[in-house]
Amino acid sequence: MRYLTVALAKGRLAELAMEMFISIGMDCSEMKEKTRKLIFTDEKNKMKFILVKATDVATYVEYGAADIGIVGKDTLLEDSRNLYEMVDLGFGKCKMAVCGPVELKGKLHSMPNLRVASKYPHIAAKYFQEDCGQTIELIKLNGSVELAPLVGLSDVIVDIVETGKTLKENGLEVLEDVVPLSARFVVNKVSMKMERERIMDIVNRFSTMTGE
Amino acid sequence: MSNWKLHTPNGVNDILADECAVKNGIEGKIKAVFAAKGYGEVQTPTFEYYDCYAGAGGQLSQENMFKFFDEQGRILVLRPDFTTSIARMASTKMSDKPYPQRYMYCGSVFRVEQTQGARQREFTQSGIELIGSYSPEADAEVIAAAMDAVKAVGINDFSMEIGQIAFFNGLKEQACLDEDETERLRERIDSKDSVGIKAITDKLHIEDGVKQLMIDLPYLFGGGEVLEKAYVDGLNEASKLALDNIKRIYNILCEKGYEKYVSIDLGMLESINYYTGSIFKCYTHGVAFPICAGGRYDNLMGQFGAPRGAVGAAIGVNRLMSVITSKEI
Repeated sequence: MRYLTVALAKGRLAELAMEMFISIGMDCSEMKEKTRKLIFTDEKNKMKFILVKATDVATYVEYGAADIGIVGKDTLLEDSRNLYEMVDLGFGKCKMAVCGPVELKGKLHSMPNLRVASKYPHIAAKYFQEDCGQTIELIKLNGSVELAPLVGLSDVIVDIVETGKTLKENGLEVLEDVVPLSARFVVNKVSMKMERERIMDIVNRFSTMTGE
Repeated sequence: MSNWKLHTPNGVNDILADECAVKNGIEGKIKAVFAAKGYGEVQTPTFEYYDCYAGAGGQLSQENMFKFFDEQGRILVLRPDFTTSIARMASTKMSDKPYPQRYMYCGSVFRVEQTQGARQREFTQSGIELIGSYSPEADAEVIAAAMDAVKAVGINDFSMEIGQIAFFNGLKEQACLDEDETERLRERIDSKDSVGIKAITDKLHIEDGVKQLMIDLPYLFGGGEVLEKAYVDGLNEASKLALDNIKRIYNILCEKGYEKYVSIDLGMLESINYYTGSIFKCYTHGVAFPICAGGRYDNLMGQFGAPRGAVGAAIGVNRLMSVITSKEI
């Protein structure tokens, strides 16, 4: 039997994903130990788990370096990868939203040169240009996006909103929802065909668990 | 400053003597299989007018073609595939000859791809086109020939997945979807994303059986039994005919002894716009992309003035090379 390789996004998502794999009988004890290892093996079930950066999960899966990945919907939307997106795992729930000073509420789509800052330029461009039919000026940032409207770099931001605490503390509000997000179970297209039974078995068990 | 003269551009490679010998060997074996089945080799120009390819969409969309200009300012493209060129050639130069006509080719195609891993900007395709037949026997002949060629190269552990674009087109007609909605639904089904499909179908006013079928479509893959699951109540004529057609193709291939290689995937919808009926992709271990792909394109010949049914397959020679070299290691 070949090893099935699972790519997990380092951090909280990986921990929650591990719990799911454990609950269907995989052995991930090695991973629970404090260690800096990035690759773990479950010899009994012939599974390998690798820890990668969240934005790289889809890359590993698309190119077949991993058969399966657990990744946030935000990364999938931003990179539009060629893979199967099979189960909504239901954890890591949050949303992508347009945020800015409350004065702009309801005025966004009548502003001629809206400046939008985001870590997710594709999602932002798709929302404004395709869904709303509005041409915008995009500014790609890599972090602390909330700062942009405060210092006049942009009018609004497009970012992930979980609790809204960071927004509130910086005097910003959610102006419009773009899309709900959660963790997804993704599969390489070739692996799906070549290892159909083993992968579908996991898919079915995860689907049942998440009540789909 | 980099010294550009020492480097090759993104997405293209030198093929050194050892690799070149392997590549020539593969091409020779593939061509021998096709030639034995009556396919005559042709060559089409490396570049054509952009107009020849305009509107092909998908993998051959405008952004994916290398474009330049001739001295009159007309737009030229490096050929992004052979099928369109051969349809043009057969339509304009061979339409008075008897059908069916069988062509094979082998050469480079060029696409502006994100270049990482297995995606190259120049790659070799070797394939066949069977022009002048609407019958499922023709589809089966081409799919079988492609499998024989893959086997001749020494790959026996592969899976040939057959889908049916016409089935999805029938569903979309029934749901009265516009172009944008169709594309969104197609993309979600092709990604096997039931959540995304549900979000779209919830807004549709169609029979529940058909709605449920759209949601189930991503999971309708496997052996011949999945076809039976697709015959739900309330399908329109177009969808039923499409299912009958793929069933026939599948049965012919099984009768010919290919059962262990072929399977069905009704949720496979990633394609080029010119496909109208069966589509297929061939996968194997060791490479994360299809090694062979093709399908039926009944409207393409008509665009060049000689409407005929046609079906073709293309094998990715570079991908076969990586499978074979990885096996040796």
